Amino acid sequence: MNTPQRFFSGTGAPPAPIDVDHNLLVESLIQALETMAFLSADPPDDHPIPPGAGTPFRVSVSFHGPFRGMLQLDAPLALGETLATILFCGDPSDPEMAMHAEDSLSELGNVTCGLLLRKLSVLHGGHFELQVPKWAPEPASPDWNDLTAIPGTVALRVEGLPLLARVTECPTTGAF
Amino acid sequence: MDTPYARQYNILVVDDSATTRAVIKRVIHLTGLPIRDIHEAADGSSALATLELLGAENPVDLIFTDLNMPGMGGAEFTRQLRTIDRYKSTPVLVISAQPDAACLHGLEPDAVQGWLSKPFTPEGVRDLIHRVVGIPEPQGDAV
Repeated sequence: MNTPQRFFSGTGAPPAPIDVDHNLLVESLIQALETMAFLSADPPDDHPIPPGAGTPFRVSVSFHGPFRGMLQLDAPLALGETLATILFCGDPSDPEMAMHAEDSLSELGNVTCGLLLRKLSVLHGGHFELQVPKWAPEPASPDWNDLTAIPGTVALRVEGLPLLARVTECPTTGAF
Repeated sequence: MDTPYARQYNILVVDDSATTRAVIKRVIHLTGLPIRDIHEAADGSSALATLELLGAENPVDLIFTDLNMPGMGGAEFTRQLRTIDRYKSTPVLVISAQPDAACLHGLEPDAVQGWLSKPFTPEGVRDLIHRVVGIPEPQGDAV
């Protein structure tokens, strides 16, 4: 079995990234965005994330199977509002769309993780099972560049907004 | 309503995520199938209450349900559903982001008739509804 390689591990450190093929992660994100909301994602470029991108909001989806892990998405709530406006066929100026922003980002994490696990099942064999998405009330870091620099992170642009994703080890305690 | 289908169908969507309910409602409408009403519930208890409220006059023909929900989950919901005479054989489809159908293990036999994997596509939903509900082909021009 091709157990994913770990980049690093340490007590007290953030969950270590798991070496999942970035192409699989990007494919899963793109497929989720396109199928859910007809949104396309631009590949990462060399430009830093622009100021005013908004506070990062983190969705985490834990999974277990041939190995345990956690998919993390970092995105501004503005992306959640964009998703909600499409999914609820709403008006962008409708305050109700902001109320659905967190749930819409959670659903994006949920769908993306399911798609990723199907690809990993083919690659590694065995059965994976994902848990209910959780979101953190506070971002892991308010600085997008810090988040982008986390090993194993892939960065996409959706509607001009940043969307970061990575697969990490599951923390032994706590949700994140 | 002017429709080439012989009748219209009522659907109940049970999921704690308002987003998931919105997505599946939109996709169901995109299928072009003859849908009369799509009712919503956030958990199993609310779903049973909705069915009771609809009564015998306006029964549901098909139910989509999540399994993992706060309060009454999908397994207990389907168990209680099957104790209602009117809903002993109503098709139930599980909606899930799980990578395979192993999430159905542990459900009682005949509790559900299928599994709908996220993300949904109108074609996938349409095919599944046709298979489990057996909607006759439209009369006259195809939709």
